Amino acid sequence: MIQIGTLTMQTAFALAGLGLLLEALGIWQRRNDLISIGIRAIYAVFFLLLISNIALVYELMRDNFRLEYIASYSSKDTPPLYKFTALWGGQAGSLLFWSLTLASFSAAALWMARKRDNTLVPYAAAIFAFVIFFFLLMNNFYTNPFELLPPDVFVPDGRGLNPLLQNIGMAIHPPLLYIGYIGFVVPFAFAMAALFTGRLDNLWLNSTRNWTLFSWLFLTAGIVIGMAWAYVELGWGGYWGWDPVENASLIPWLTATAYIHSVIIQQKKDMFKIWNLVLIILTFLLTILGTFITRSGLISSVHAFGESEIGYLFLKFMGIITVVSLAFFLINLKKLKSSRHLESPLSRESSFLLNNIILLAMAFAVLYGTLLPTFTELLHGAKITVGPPFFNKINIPIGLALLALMAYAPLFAWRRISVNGFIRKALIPTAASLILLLVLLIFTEVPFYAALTFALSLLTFAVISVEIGKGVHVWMVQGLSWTSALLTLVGRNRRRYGAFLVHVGVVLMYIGFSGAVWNEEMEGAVKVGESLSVNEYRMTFVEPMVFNRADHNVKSGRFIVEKAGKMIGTLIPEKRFYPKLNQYNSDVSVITRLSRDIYLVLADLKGETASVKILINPLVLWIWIGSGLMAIGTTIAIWPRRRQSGKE
Amino acid sequence: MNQKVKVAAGIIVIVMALGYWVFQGVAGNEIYYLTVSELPTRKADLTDQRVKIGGVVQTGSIHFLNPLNVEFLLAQGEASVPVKYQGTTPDMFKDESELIVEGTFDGEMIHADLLIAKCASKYETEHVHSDSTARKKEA
Repeated sequence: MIQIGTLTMQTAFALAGLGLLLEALGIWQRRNDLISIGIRAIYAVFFLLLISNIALVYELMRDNFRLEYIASYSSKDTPPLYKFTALWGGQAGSLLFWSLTLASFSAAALWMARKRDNTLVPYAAAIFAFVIFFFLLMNNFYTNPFELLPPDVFVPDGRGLNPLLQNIGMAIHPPLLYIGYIGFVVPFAFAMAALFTGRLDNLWLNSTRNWTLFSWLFLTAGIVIGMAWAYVELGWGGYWGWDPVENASLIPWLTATAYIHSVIIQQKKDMFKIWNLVLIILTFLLTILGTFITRSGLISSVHAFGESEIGYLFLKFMGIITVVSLAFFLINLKKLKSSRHLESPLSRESSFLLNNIILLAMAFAVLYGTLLPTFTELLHGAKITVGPPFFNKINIPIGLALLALMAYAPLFAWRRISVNGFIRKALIPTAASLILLLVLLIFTEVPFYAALTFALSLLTFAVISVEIGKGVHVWMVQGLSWTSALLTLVGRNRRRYGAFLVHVGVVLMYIGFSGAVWNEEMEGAVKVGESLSVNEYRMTFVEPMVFNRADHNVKSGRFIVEKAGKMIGTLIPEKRFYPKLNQYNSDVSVITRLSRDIYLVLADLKGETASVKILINPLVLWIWIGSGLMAIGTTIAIWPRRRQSGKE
Repeated sequence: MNQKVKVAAGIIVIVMALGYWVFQGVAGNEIYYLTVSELPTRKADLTDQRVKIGGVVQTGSIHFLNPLNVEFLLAQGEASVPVKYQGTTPDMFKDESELIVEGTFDGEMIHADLLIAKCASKYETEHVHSDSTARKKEA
């Protein structure tokens, strides 16, 4: 299977190049036959890469340690699930999987557009072929997963997948993130096609709207699952550390979020045309930058892959895309003029514009902070970094401004809304949230930012409830029960109400984030029978446990947690040692409640003495609940229309 | 036209305010990021500053005063600097592991409050792994 894997990977590379050539030639010579052969070449690339990936998985499953990749990332006693996920456990394999995902999206987008007479398709196909060609260039010549170890090296057993990655979250986080990243290639390709052809109407947008939301959904899910993984696996008690690799996924998420808002303005009002093209090209470049940051070791980061020459390739690739798109912008500048302009600062258009500015400011702040060491080293020769205090200080106020805007968003009408009309609609929710803010600030010790978060959350809920309540009322007057009125309302405009649900999810996540102001932690050593207390929580060490599992040894202990004398649960954290890797791995134990998490890390166990770190993390669960609602809301918004009307 | 100018002016003001907000945020939060061998040459201006230093844990230098208190030497080639750290150490903290240490430099020693471990062996330079621990509460 090694030969098959290599051969299919090489053929795919050649075919991607051929596809690019055929599309270019077909467009130039106006030869539809060449264009359709070129598109078939892309389909073929997809099938070849599928075989190539299967070949690698096959070799992983049968423990072929002649392959350097498999010897580094798998071992005989790695559980089968993680043998499979080792496909994306290291650089070479993950880039091969990346290429497969890319080819499958390209092929699917072309397949779905095959029946439509869409002038953009040949150009989009050329872009797909170009991007695939670039990634396959890396797979074949720079980081080949089918590379054999030198013949004189015999590896009886592989090193195994890093235990940190042997976690269900880490098994699904990379593919979700990849789907999220790569999905943006589809709107990008069609946007570039629009620039090449000069067909700058809404065709490219309408061809890719669902792709965009779909990719955004996966990017969101990928980021959140990465957070959850960090939270339970890394053992420092947090879910977000403003690490460069985390930031690398957040930046395109922010620009993509701006984009999914501003396309609505173009579709409804024919405005923001240049802006949308800029945003999608930027988002695509940032997804590539994200891969680049992760893979190249550009910024010394906790999870950056080792320094390698593929960094320059990435830079060249991004350079080419930037130059080409800028050139076509200049060529098309006249055609890109919007037919309409903002009519009033109090309008839905303006609120979306403001939303975009804020999201881009956040993206810029995160990018700036992430690349600061690189810039300062280039300019001054000394690396200066900024850590979480910088990112929090900058982003919390901007984030709260965004929350405020989101709260009022449903009240803005298209074109303009009168100041009086706005005040009339906003008065009661605003008053309610102001009262909450004042009560929290005067009568409780809730810190300002948290109080503001709660007040703005109330505002968002109030405004959305009133909007939905009004809509439901209209249908109830028609004689529907309130449930069918609600279903009808949502069914009639799933995009709007799906978005409301996403907003509610976002609010819950904000509430979850705000819980961090009450985080408490304590480290200490306890003997059996002794207790540690944090706040009203008392944690007693009941018994030490030492035993072995298949590929690791375990030190563990049982701890009972009481609150005000009442037992609320048992915590069993583990400290694992993997002899083959000569590596430790802590398995934290968490009691999760809506109000707070109680999180215990076992640092060490010597005889009857356990060294532990205990953290009280309020409201964390709301982050996961909120992200779940975001996923449901997005799904409602993109659910195909026909299925729904069949139900009604 | 008037409306257009107003809108443009509004956008420019907002963008400039946000830009200012981002750039000023760096002040007071900078952390110098150096290697162990660069440290002695800049001793004067870095004393009592917050620094981030990358190096390798010197073999045999790890000394646990107790499980939550450790001292070790962070080395790079010939150069090394003593580090004192209180808290749970990352899982990958061991002899020869690549480490990024963050803390205050008192001119002699680094009082670290954050250890970020990378992998030790050459095989693993391409792994995705990370490990960080003991971020201070404000982090």
